Amino acid sequence: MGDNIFLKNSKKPELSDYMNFNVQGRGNLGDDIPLAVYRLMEFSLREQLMEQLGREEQIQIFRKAGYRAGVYFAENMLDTSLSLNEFIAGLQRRMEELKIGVLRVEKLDKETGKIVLTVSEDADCSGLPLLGETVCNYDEGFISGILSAYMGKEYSAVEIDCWATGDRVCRFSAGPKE
Amino acid sequence: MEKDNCEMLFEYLKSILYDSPIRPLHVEELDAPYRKLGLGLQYLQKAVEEMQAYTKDLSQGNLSGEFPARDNFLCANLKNLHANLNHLTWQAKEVAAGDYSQHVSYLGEFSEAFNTMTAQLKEREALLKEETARVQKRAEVIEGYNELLVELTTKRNEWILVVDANSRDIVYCNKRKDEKKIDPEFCHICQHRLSFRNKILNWQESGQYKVWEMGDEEQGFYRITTFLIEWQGRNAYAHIVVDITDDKKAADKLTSKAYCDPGTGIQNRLFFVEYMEKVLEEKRDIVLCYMDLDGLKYVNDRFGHSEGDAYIHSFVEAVQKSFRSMDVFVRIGGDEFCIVMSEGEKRAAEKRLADLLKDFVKTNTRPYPVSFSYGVVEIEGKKNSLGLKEIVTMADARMYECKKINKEQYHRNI
Repeated sequence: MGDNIFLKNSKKPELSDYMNFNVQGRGNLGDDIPLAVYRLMEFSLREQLMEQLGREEQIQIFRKAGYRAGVYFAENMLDTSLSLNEFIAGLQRRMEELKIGVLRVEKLDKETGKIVLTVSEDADCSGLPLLGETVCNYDEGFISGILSAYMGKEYSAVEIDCWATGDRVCRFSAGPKE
Repeated sequence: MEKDNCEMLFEYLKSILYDSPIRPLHVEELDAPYRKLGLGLQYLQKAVEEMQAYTKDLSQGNLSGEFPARDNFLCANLKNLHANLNHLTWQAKEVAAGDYSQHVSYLGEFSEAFNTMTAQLKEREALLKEETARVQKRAEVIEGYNELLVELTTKRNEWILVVDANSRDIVYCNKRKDEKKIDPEFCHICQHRLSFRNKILNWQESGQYKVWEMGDEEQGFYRITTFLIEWQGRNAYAHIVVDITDDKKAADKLTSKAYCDPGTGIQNRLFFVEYMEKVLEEKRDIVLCYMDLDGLKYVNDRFGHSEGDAYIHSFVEAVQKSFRSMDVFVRIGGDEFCIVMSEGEKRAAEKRLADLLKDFVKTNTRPYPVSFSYGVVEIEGKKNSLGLKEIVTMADARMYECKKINKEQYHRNI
């Protein structure tokens, strides 16, 4: 057939291009997918990256990917014009609707901007066996991406407790980057 | 030996479950095959002790206590409970700060109760805000009206004084320029103008509403409307004082015009009628002299009306010179006049009129003869039963007798 003239000089596809998919493309199966499939992809990817690039590199890649997703999520699926409490309430609703997890705030210091929040029934780790290490690096990035997009300044989030370390919720401590 | 080991482990397990403090297990006392199990039970002891400490903290509401070890799975659900309590604590604080959008999911009956509470708080807050806005709007309207009322009140010429019914303090005066306490002796303006201020201060009538007047020619005249009011929980009298000096002057002027004969400046028939009604009502003694100017028609026809007017003026002048100012002299028609004397008797009056006629004729310088006719009636107030019309008819009849004589004389002199 030769070169497709229509695809010549087209820009490099970005996350938003991939997310702009047609739901009707899965007219019969719909847009839900079992948790096992999500985890299969996540942990196989995790294993491959760790094996290929080392543990630290794998963690950084997961955090950065999660950050991209968080920014996209905040900008496209949340109302960032709301007050902080209203925004968090909206985030809680959205995360439950999309079955990402049940978000709950434990502490919020409006002066310093520091937040401690938990995600129970987390899509990434709920039900995992005791592994002795936190595994929700993607979530760390996802949360910091959402908060950065809303706050208008860079945020970082660190997972301090995880199902995989024996807890029953994932606990994240987030705050502005110094 | 096996039995001893099992017994030791059983007792240790029993102690873990029921004793406090737990009796320790000395693993080295066990035979080698049982030591692994002993170590396992020792780990269980730690896990149970940790769980007990953790549950104690949570049951007492201490959410900042020590966390159990990550690998203590006995505490897994407690940790979840701990996380939920932390979250609920934060939510309660936010609700207390007025954020009713807080929502609790997946906590069964608690979620339902909490979410109902926040929904109701939100609803009540909305109602309260609505009510507040309504009240605020009403308050703004009232404030506007109040400002208007104050403006209108202070700009009025009237004095509005409110005097405490008990203490007699002036609690409000619309002439007051500032918020200072009102001088009980009145401020300069009121003290100077309101000569009857003491009467206002000491007003003590039980009637609800009264309109009264005070003042004189020198101080001016005032109409005071007084009524009982309740002022800031106290009984008080409100006095609205209106300066009616100008109104009174205008009314007097109008009255004077109504009672005045414009041709001669003396009083007219209307005044005569009202005056006589009063005299008769009070049963006063009077002498009434009814007079008619002779030949006025002839003078008017022959010399013109202005000369006729001059003839009348000369007659009025002559009468005014001859009678006292206390006698009432009125023009009741074109050439008809009356004098009402409060003192004296008929005969004396007739003599004075005869003298006046004589003098009037004698001093005449006009190109025609002058004369007047008169009839005198004396009324004794207490005995009198005649009305004004009858009295006037009687005087007129007597005047007519006089006229018959004068008429012939007058025509001879033309």
